[in-house]
Amino acid sequence: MTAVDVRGQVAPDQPARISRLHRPRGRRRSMSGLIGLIGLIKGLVPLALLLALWQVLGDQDSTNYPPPSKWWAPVRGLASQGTLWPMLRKTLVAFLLALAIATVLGAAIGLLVGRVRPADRALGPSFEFFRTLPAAAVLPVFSLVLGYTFTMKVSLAVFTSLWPVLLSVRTGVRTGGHALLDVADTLGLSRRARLFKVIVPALLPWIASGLRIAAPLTLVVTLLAEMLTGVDGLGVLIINAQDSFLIPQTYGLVLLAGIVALVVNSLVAVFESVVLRRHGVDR
Amino acid sequence: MNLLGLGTAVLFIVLWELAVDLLPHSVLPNVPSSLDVIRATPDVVGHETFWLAAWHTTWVSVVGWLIAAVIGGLIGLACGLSRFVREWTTSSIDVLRALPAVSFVPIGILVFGQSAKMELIIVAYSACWIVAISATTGFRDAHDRYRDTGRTLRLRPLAVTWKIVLPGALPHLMVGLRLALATSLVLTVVAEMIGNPVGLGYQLTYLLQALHTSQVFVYIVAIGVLGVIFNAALVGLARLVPAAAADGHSGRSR
Repeated sequence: MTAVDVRGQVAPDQPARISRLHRPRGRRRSMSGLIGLIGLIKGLVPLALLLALWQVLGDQDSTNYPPPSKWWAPVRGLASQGTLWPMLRKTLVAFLLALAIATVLGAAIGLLVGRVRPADRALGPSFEFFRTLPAAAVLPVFSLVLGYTFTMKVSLAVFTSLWPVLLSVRTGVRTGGHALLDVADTLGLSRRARLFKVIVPALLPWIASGLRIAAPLTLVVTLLAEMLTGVDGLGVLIINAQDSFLIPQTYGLVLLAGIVALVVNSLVAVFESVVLRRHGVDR
Repeated sequence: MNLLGLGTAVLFIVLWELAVDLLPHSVLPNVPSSLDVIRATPDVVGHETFWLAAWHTTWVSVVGWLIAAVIGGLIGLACGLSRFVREWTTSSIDVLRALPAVSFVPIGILVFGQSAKMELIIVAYSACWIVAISATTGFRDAHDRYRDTGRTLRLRPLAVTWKIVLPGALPHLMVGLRLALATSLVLTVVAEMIGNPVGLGYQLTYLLQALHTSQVFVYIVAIGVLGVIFNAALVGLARLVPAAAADGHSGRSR
């Protein structure tokens, strides 16, 4: 995450993540399926227990810590007013668009700097600096140039979540991509065939591992931009609820954001395991 | 020296200057040129406000990070050494980790008010999972790899943990701590922008609303520089740790 998340930290340089790519395939398979499901449910027990205790032992009329059962009604209220779903949709559209652009752009630049040494040396230091800038800090720049708009929200998210994909693809090209690209040269493939038959499949596992960090980051930055600038979306609802001291509603909306994040994370995990199964092991 | 890289960075700055100077004003309203920012720098840095803000952001990030390091380290230790604990908690941690940290700032403000305590709790909460995850991996690997060594040497369990597992887990732990410190800084700035009106984050929003845009850019660069300093400090710290230097991140073999 992410770190980072806003967890800003963008660098997919954890060895655990890289070495996961080289793990034998059998283990991953046996992890999936029923055993995985049981493990998942088992691991969720402490969290469920915590929420149950909060519900049962917590003060029913507590202002700051309303019991979980009271969270849902005010969120449903927003839904019946017709504000919740349009706002959520705006957040999701911005998120998906930003993630798509960041992936394509990150993979393209990553391919360039991974393959062409001078380009890497030229762009490296500037990229290092851009990468360390927290999304919250660059937000003023984007809002000055683009105004408080949808475009600003998407651009900011692209700017921050580009780096994990870029770095991951760059590492991928460095470690194994060269050989594959040389094979493509030897076979005399056309540009189009090279791109879709060699380059994209070879880089998919690396794109996927970059996405693991980029996807949650994109969501966080989208929410952050909404919260700070008031551009329509789920983030605005959360900040409005807080400003009006609608405490149970704030909890409910944060939970909703959490559910969205969970769905996103699981989709990315599924994508990664599919990619690894199909392309990951032959390298 | 990477002159090419330096040249490209300078080129970016020159392009920015040209874009602001040559494009009609309506395209980039309120955007300061690079020269404006350079001119504004002495004013900003010469003022006490800047250093007070920088100090606040620094101590909150570092203290929040330390709390996260202790809590995350303990969670990681429990999960790494005991398979039982790991099996019964992993997905709960995944869920808590996935919750977007930003969205906790409003709850933090409601419950703890606009205070440094609120900032610390938000920072520690979001950073502790990063430490916990890498500590779990580190402790688990070290435990699995070196447990038999400890048995052969007839060390007691506490000695095994202290003398073998902890040094063995350090390389992973250092990676987690580095990422966590970056996250701490980000969350501190965010908490200051939305919640507690002090520090670099607040200066950023305040100056932006006042349309002192050149000064905003100085603060952005300052936050970036603070991030670079934090990272460099931890890389330096990692070098001091002998086990981390000896084992290295990449020296692991499976």
